[in-house]
Amino acid sequence: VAGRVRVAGETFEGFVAARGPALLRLAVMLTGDAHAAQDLVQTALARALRHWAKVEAADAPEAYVRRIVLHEHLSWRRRRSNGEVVSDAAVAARSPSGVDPAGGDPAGPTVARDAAWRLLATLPRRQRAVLVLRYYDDLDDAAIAGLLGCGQSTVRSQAARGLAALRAAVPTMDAEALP
Amino acid sequence: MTADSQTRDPEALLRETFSAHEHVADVPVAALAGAARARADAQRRTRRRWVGTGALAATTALVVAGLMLPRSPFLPSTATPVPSSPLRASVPAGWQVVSSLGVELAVPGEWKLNADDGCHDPVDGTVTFGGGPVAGCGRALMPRFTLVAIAAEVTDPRPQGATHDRGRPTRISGEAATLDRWTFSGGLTELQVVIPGGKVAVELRGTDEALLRRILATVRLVDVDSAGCHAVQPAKPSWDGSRSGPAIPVGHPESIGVCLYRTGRLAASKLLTGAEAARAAAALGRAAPGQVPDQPDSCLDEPEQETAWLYLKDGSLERGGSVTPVRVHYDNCRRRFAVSPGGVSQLTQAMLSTTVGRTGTGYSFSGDVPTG
Repeated sequence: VAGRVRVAGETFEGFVAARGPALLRLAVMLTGDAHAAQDLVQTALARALRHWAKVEAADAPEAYVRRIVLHEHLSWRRRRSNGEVVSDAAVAARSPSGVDPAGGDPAGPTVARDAAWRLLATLPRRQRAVLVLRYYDDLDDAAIAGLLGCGQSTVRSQAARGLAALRAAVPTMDAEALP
Repeated sequence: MTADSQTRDPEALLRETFSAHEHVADVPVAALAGAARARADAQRRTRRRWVGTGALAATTALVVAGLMLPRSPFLPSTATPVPSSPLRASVPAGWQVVSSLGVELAVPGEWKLNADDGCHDPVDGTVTFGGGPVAGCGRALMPRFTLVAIAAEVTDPRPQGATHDRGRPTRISGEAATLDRWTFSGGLTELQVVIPGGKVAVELRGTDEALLRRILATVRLVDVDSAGCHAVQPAKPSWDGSRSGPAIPVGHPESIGVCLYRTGRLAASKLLTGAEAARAAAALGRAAPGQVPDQPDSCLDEPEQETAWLYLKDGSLERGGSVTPVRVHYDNCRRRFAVSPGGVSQLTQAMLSTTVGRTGTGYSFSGDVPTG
């Protein structure tokens, strides 16, 4: 057991034990991969650890750390460190047909979910994050805009693009159901 | 939700998709805290890419040995540090000096230190150093405000759309350096100075390139900075160790130089004067003799990665004043004490907050430490 940081309330270890699974789930939704999610959460927790007293003193420590996870995932420096450069043009160049619906009934729920999961992997991080915050965290557009530091119109447009890509990737999707 | 509706309603499909993949996160979390802690430690003692050839090997050797005492040409003595020549007179009035990793530079006095935490609205000007605002949230967008960063690593490549004026040779304090310049849409400019001999880089970013260049003109390498701190952690002196006897005799120092070292290099410093020095001296003076009891049941005996040196200055050296060195051990759950040639005192939270806490870099401590 490593040294324990003493704060006024919960220890760092106690927080991680209690909220680690939820943080990992969020990270999985953002990254699509268990290993990447663990890496992301570890990085975020390491960032939080150094000023743990400040984090613990926040009104909602878990929300604070979730915010760190989100922004660490989207951070400019993280993308730079990974050598990744994402642009809308690059994403647009990816064919929706890259999502392979073969292997079963394309209308089946499992196949549809798998296709949607694969589609999410092709989206720009920011666009995927909007979908995660909207449809996994059930946040409204105002809250998402606040988290991402952008306008609600940007949130709506990002969500619309993501949903449009989803419709293209899942052939049986009913276009009339799209917003 | 039926299968049919799942495939007809994209929003429902997304919710089902996320829900169906929660199991991907079903991994043991028992080791997560330890892994995060190890990563935090690793971030202190390693860098993804060190500036200059040979630096990585030197650094790795330090880490492997678990030493706080670098055996290198940079090894300073434990003698009272004498600051290098004052930062040149060209520093505009009202500017503040920031020191880290052997670099000193000056920025406008109203700038905040380590204020770019990515969680809040950017400030007009900030300096990132000593590891930066670790508790921050990161930033989704490239910051568009004036930022100066002192770091042991360079961070590239730049995002798409940047125009790069590559690698112009220059000199900083006589050391060979390279100056790169990037320009981005929206009038944002970044200047980056890499000084291999100093194992350090300085990044300056903002929309006012004239201001960036004024700051750049103040950059210099120092062996001992304006606060009286060695750029490299002093070697362990003979008096550094826990022992029985009196607490540290503090007296009434006129000023206190605070030197924060991480992995053997100066991360941040601060010269306390006036009320700040008085508060720090009082906190030191209140500490009980001895060391804080170890807590072997709740921690491992890990190598110390972070330490602070204090220099209690009783009058100016020119007037025959004296300097009392104090080393503060706080980065572990064992051996937590402050020590000087004249005594040993228990580490206290007040001691840390009035000294290391004034450097603008943050700190943490382990276990139960008296508030003081």
